[in-house]
Amino acid sequence: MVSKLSGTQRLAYTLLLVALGAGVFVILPHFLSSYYVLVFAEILIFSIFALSVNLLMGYTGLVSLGQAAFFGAGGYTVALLVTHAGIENFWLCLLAALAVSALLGLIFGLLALRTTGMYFIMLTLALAQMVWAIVWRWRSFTGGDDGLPGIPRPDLGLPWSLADNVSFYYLVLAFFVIAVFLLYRIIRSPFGRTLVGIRENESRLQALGYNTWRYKYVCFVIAAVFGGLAGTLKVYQDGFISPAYCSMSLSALVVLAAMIGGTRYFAGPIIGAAVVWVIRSIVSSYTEYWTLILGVLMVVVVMFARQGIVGYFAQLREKRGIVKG
Amino acid sequence: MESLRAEGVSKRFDGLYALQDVSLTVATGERRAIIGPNGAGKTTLFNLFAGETKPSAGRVYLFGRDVTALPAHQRVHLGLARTFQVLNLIPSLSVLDNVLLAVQAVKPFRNGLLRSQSSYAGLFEEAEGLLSQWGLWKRRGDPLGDLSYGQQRRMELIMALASKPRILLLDEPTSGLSEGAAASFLDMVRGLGRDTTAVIVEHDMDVVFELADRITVLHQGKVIAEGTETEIRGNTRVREVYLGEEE
Amino acid sequence: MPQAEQLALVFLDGVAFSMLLFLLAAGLVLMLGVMNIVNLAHGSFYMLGGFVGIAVGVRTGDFALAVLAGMGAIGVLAFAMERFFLRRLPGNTEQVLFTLGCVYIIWDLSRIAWGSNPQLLSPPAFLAGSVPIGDYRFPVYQLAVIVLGALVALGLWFFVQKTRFGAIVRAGADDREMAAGLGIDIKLVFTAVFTLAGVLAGLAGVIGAPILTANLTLDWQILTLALVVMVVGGMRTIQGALVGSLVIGLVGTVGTFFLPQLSMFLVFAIMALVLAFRPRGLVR
Repeated sequence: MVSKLSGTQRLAYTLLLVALGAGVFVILPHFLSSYYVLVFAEILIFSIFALSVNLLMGYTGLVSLGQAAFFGAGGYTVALLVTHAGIENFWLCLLAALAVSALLGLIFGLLALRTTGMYFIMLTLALAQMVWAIVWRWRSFTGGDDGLPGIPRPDLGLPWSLADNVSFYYLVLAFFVIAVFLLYRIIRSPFGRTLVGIRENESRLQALGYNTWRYKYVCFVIAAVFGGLAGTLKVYQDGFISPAYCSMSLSALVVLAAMIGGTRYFAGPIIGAAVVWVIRSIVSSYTEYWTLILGVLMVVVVMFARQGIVGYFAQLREKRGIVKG
Repeated sequence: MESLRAEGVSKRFDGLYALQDVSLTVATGERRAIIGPNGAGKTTLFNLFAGETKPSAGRVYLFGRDVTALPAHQRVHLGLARTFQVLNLIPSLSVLDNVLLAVQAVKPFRNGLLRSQSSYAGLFEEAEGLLSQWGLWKRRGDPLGDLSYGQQRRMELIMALASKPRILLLDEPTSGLSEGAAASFLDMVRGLGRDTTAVIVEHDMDVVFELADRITVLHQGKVIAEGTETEIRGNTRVREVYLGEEE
Repeated sequence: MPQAEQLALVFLDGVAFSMLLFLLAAGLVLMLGVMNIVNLAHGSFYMLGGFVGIAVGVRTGDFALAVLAGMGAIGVLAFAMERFFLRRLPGNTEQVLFTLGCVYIIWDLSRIAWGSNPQLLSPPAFLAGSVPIGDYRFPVYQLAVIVLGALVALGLWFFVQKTRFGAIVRAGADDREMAAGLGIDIKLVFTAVFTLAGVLAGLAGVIGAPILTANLTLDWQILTLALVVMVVGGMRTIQGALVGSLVIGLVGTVGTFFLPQLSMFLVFAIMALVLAFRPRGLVR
């Protein structure tokens, strides 16, 4: 992509962002109350989830309304291993959760990617609801509607414990940074650029020689794995799991987050996740109408601000750029 | 040496034959034009060569290899490239981004997940070189949709050439172009070496007679004539069916 | 070992439920075919229709009025959604996302208006009571639902296949540009189709209220089932919607009878099987 800033300008800009990020994400939590630290952690977790969904939605053009299936798959794998198999080791649980999410992605991808557009939306929704139904029904195994409680904070096998909120927050932050790094690299890679091409004109990409199905499939599985990662972190944060982790509302919420932030921009889902989570946790303590607010917000964004928050500011900057000459 | 061959190819759509028992062979380096009135089956035949559809009967060979069931994207890796009659580019991406995708498509690193696309220096060089060669380098940063119709038609060809194809399928490449633009387009095609075979479906007889070594004439799904310009001009059946209507 | 009459009861139960599903799925099929969208708020339409119907029914004691109220309310809502919002959106994806936002809005407004407690509606007096089937009795009301469903199915088939307006709808579904070229106002067709689907959903919501209690989880639950119906039946035809509804409705009801632990799972198992072996659905 042809950039409009010079090399040094870009470096300065990046350093500024990093400094800001470090300030906000690394230093600030030390000074906040436990409650807000956890909110921060939740925003980061939800951001990972939203980024994974946007890989599919914003970059490849595939709107999936069933991503909570992977989020839940990751979370439930951990919960089941801890509860039924007594496995305490964090890395084992994480690996298992990612593997299960990947497997689910491999299977669902085979089924859902036979279709596109509206059919794809319907199928992903139905498949995720299937996961929810299984989890909700199978009381003896998954605890059914009550879920599984008593998931302790992760044991990393390190000399210090992560039981307190701030330490756990830093764990989440570490994974957030890794996830952002990996997803950013993927988007800028030849694979990522091909995804954009597929979104814009799949038939042309095929005529150019790309096996577009395979790209969509790999993208689908990657999104599933990162969704599973987010679910894993969430179950450790909450200490319990319930079918809500696989629910339709969560699938819809994460799509909303990506949209509000802006699906065409890498940082969009992160901003969107923050906005949605703030509304959900903070606003909901002031008013009981937060669902209504979310719905209205979604309608407003779809009708009038499709570029999302990041898009809005990006376009403002472009306009000013033209004026400056 | 043959580049493209159709053997007894037929295509049915719901009981109607778009193509009936069509056979033809294109030699390597040849410039072959496929002409015929509307509904003759040119587009169907083209799509069979490109891999967009499969024949109901018969076989298609690319450089001696049976590709009848091979999907379009895999034919590119055998050396085939095609353009589209109705512009089928990516107008929202920049000119350069379009060409990058086209050049990348046949590179081994196209599946690369973790290195940035811009780190592949050769890729950019090749893409920019291509644009330079065909006079669109200055517009490389512009959204492709900003180009004029003639420039976008040129882009159709550039995108196809990006994979360094051994055989080029052109679907009415001069449609909508003015005489001057069509002429410069022809120069582009003529400028391709004899390493590249070109099969062109066309309506414009001037283009056909300018460019083609051999001409295949289709009518109602069947081949009614095939030969050089002189042979075709002299063929009464062809004149009846086609050229007569042109007059 | 269940007796034949018991099975017959369960079977009829299933058919009645199928009719409710059909009313929803038929609307979804029409909207998908003509407008190329999935109305994610379709379950919400059902739920809201039920709530409105119950409110009117409980207040006036007039079931017919309740039905009309439900149909009318959702009809108006659907009309407004299409006319003032869907029409203004540039693409199908945006339109679907808009309907997603509406789900949240409708849900919370319903919660505010009617609270979180499940609601009940009694069937009308003239449909109260039951008919004997062997030693057992089956509610007359559910028989009426079956009859109504069959009538709607017939009516839709007739409308789509035999009337001029139906031909227009089919033309719009097949080829939008051609239809426009023929002078058909495609925008009007869209509004009409969306409104009709809404009316059917509202109808289902009210007449379903005596069978399934109206509550705030209904929107996603019933939408999910309707989508599964479409996947199973094939998403393109009304016949497919009917076949799918019967399959899912019967599997769900009969399944719950024999294997109560697995009923939901059976429904999804059917869906998974269809997806694996007949991805285009059971009806071509």
